[in-house]
Amino acid sequence: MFFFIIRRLLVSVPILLAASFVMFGMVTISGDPLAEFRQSTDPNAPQTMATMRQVLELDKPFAERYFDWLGGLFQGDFGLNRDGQEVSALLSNAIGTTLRLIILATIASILLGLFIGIVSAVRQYSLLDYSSTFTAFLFFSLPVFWVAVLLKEFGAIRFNDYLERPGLSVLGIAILTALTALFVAALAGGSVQRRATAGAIAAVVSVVALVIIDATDWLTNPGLSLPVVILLSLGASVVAAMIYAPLSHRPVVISAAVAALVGVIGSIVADSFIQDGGFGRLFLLLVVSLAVGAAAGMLLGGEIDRRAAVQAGMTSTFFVGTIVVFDRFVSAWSPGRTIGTVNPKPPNLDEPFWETMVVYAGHQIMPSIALALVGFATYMRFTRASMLETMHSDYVRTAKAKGLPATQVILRHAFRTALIPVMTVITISFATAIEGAVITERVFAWNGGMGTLFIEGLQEVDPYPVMGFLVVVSISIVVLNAVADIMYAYLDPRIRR
Amino acid sequence: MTATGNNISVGTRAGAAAAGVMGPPTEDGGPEREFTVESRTQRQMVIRRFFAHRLAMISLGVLILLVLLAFVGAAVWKHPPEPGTVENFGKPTLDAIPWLDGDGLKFGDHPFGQDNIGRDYLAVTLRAAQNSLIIALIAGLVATAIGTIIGGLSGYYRGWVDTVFMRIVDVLFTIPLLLVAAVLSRRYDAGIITLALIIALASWLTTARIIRAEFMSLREKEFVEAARALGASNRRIMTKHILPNVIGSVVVTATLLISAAILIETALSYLGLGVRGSDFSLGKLVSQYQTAFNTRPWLFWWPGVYIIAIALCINFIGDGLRDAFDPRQNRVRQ
Amino acid sequence: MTATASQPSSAGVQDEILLEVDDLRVTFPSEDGNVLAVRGVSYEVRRGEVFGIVGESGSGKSVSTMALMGLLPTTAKIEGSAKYLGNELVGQRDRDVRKYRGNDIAMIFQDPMTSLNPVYTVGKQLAEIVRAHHRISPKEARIRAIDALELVGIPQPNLRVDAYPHEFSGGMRQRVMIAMAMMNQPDIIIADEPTTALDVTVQAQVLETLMSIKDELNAAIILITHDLGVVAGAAHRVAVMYGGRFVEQGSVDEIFTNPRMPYTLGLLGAIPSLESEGELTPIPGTPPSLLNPPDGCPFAPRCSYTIDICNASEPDLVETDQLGHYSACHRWDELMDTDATIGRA
Repeated sequence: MFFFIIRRLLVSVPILLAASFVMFGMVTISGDPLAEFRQSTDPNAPQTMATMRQVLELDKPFAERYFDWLGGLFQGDFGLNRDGQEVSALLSNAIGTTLRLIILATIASILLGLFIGIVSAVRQYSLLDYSSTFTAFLFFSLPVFWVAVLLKEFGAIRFNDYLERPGLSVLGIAILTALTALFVAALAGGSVQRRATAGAIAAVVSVVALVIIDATDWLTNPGLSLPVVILLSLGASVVAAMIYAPLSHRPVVISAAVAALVGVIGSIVADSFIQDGGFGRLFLLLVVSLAVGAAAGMLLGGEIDRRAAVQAGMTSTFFVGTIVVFDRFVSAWSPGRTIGTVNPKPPNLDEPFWETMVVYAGHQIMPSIALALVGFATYMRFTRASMLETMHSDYVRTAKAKGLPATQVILRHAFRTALIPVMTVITISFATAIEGAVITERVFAWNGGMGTLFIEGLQEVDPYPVMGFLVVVSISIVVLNAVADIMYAYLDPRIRR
Repeated sequence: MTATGNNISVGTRAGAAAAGVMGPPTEDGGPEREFTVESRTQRQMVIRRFFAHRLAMISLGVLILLVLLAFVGAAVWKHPPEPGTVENFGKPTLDAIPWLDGDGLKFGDHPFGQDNIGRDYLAVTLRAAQNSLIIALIAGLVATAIGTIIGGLSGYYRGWVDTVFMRIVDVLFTIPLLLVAAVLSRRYDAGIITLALIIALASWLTTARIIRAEFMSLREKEFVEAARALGASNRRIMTKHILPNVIGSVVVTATLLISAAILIETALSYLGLGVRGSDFSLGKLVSQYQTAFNTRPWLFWWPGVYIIAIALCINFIGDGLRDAFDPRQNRVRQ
Repeated sequence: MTATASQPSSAGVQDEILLEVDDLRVTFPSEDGNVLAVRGVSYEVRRGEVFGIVGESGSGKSVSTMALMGLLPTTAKIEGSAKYLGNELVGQRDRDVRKYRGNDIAMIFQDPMTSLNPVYTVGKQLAEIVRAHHRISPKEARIRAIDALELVGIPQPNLRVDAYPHEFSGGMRQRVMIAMAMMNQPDIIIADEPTTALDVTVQAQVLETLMSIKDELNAAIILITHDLGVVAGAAHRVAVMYGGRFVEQGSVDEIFTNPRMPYTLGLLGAIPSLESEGELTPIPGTPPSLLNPPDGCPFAPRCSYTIDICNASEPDLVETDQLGHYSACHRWDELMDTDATIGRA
């Protein structure tokens, strides 16, 4: 496995070198950096041109410039832009902004895409399948910046307006309830009666929740109360248990529920610790909660179900952690125009952690959604197709013939193998996301991002910032490619060696 | 296993070709009553399945309408896309929702409104749609041709041909498509045909990989071996034996490339690298008028909706074609 | 082709009826209309018995057994009745019949290459079927898996238990499938073309393994095949299936020596044997479409004995002059005097 990874990475080196040469050439021929000065009547123009020649090393032959640049690259020197600034300094600021956007969008689109993809394959020809298919095709057909403009208007500006005077009309409650009920009914599947029951329950829950939200003015002062946290956590623990074993395996369910309760109690005990925040602490909490889940499984799983109980316990505490973090997060939300439409402010370090996070998220959310749409559609379609293929395969029929419950057949047999081809899509959709990010950053006026570096560099015929962007992009594509291959090998024993 | 699939005889091209060269046809014309379902050729099956795909058929209809509107509609419409006097702040006169104010469906003088220098926006949009459609079609077809040829040669000959082509593809894959398109369109800023070719040059890579994989697996099939044993030339094997079997993938990727080309054109226009000068394209209109969103929203909405309608229709047609060529994904036949 | 494991006519067959299938019908809606894949099939299987179902591909033999295992897609319409020890299997909720599946009735599929999940070890897949029905620890399930592998003749089972399916040969994989089927000591094993995908040399071995497992478990086997040779060596009773129905049913000796249905005659004529010096005679034509079949006998278009009534009405499956020998042919009594060679027209 180790040598597989090394070999995989070594293969990419010549490709990267060749690509960088081609790109350097392309950037060089894309235009004349001195064009604007040649026509200029400014008496200083020859002077400026001379400086520019110096900075951009225009007098050297192309090959020499390339190798100089390449040599510098290995020492961390990305060259200078036309104003004489270090490109590496510009890049290090830009990478954080842009990668945060892309990674967030990619993770969101993978999670949602896989989930909806599985459901619409399992419920093939259902209303849910048809509507998610239509949605996916719609997302495929949307120009990114057109969506971004709409999101900026409706998702940010008008939503902020709404939040200044929030409230739910009867019509609003009715529409939201109807949508929830339809979605849950479609998710439930099975006989008409079963679906109707599920839909009705969802409708009641939705109406109650929305009325409470409206009555308590939740939207101006959001937050989950302790009973809600406990209720959600227990629900999440049952879901976690269902992933690993049928509900008749009591030790698994009990482990998950106990782990969830311990997690909630722990979060109350560690209240001030969590409130202070910080990524290090959050990571520590993650580790601790996973350990709690595992311990609950070990202790309560018994000999027969230990493995499933440990997995269920860990998943359960992970869910609880997510709920607790979400609670802190929305509690820190203060009324105001939180959804950002312009360049993100540099975070104010004096602000408390959770408030800073809210500011970050406010700026992140709309660009991320704009970017995630295409990725979501891609993952959803791919997962669906791959799932349909495996669900009709002989080994899934064998799994059914064993008498396994449907969840196990779907998750352990159909989905596990369906995931293998889906891995290959990650790279492609990442590359698309980079191009989308260039555009999204521009719509939301993120001036410090890599997109700006790239576009402005191109427009001003400023080769080194453009090259800096390209180096980062192609290295991340190559690394991601390797990661996808490694995951592939991990998931598929046939190509493991 | 298949109780239903086996009885309905589907003469696949591969099968027919194999039977044709390898030995006597399998069906010896035994006694037949109305028992057996009439066997259909692959082409008939594909066409039949495609026409049965309701969404694809609706999309095909809408797409034909959109194309006719862009080309014929623009020719007969009373206004040219020229500046004129702005009437009623350039608001659209189209009233497509008659039940709201009760005065019936009407188009009026400027159904899509006017821009700030008084151009009829319907005429402008249709002119832009013409250009966008031409760009998308040329870009899609050229990219498909390049991808099929390079993918086919690599997959068929393998060896050094494959190595060379595929390393080129690998290298190009790491270069963002936007860069290729951006650099080329900066350097060769001519008309829409050039723009189409630039988009094609930047988008053939995936097609090449798909077609290569298909050629690779098909060249190992018995019917190709048989053809080779009978002395068919490489050229003949590729065009007469393998190509008909990959036509499904070619057609499907072509439709996807066409719809992608529309979106790439839009993205390039937004970055100021699309259609130059005074000519229009849908992408150019949307990016030009994104700031008009709050003041004159129709300038932003109409071209945007036109783009989405075209792309959506083409995508659905592509999906219908995929199902028609490869029904496996869609039908439950255990 | 030929099986060495030969069974005396009714040795080991007990009275207890394990499975009772009555008028089972399966319909698939399709874009061209309803496909009547199985059109009324009835039989019962006793403990210790090997019941063979023979037919061409598309005759409905696999579908009829998958229907009672609940393995058909949800679009399939299943009617009639199938009772395991008196418990109805057809038309029940999935979770109610799941407890029999893999536990009391196990299934072996045709293609061992694709019937095992490529991403899990053999041991895991074997343990899974036990743990789906019994609350035992993973360790114990693994021990059982090793035992089962040993019983089906896999060398070094304690090592091979951790191997992936792609590390086994075709014959060995089918043995793994047999091991999987016997993990819960089922009463009935449905073997759907268990030897078809295998080399001729390993076919006999695999079949022999299957038969010895049957004896070990005191179970019954439903053996589905298109290969009369397999049935001749292994089965006690045989049903010949054609066009979604049984067209002849009886003890293996009866069917082979006194066939009472031209289709069976045709099948026997198409078997190569050392004694006969004549040519092999293929049955002309192709099996019927099960899509909207017309009134007459489904075999009539291909039959050399066809008379008017054959095209007009479909014959019922009726008992012939021999006890327990049924035939669905209007002219079965006229076939009595002919011997198998007459079929070779």
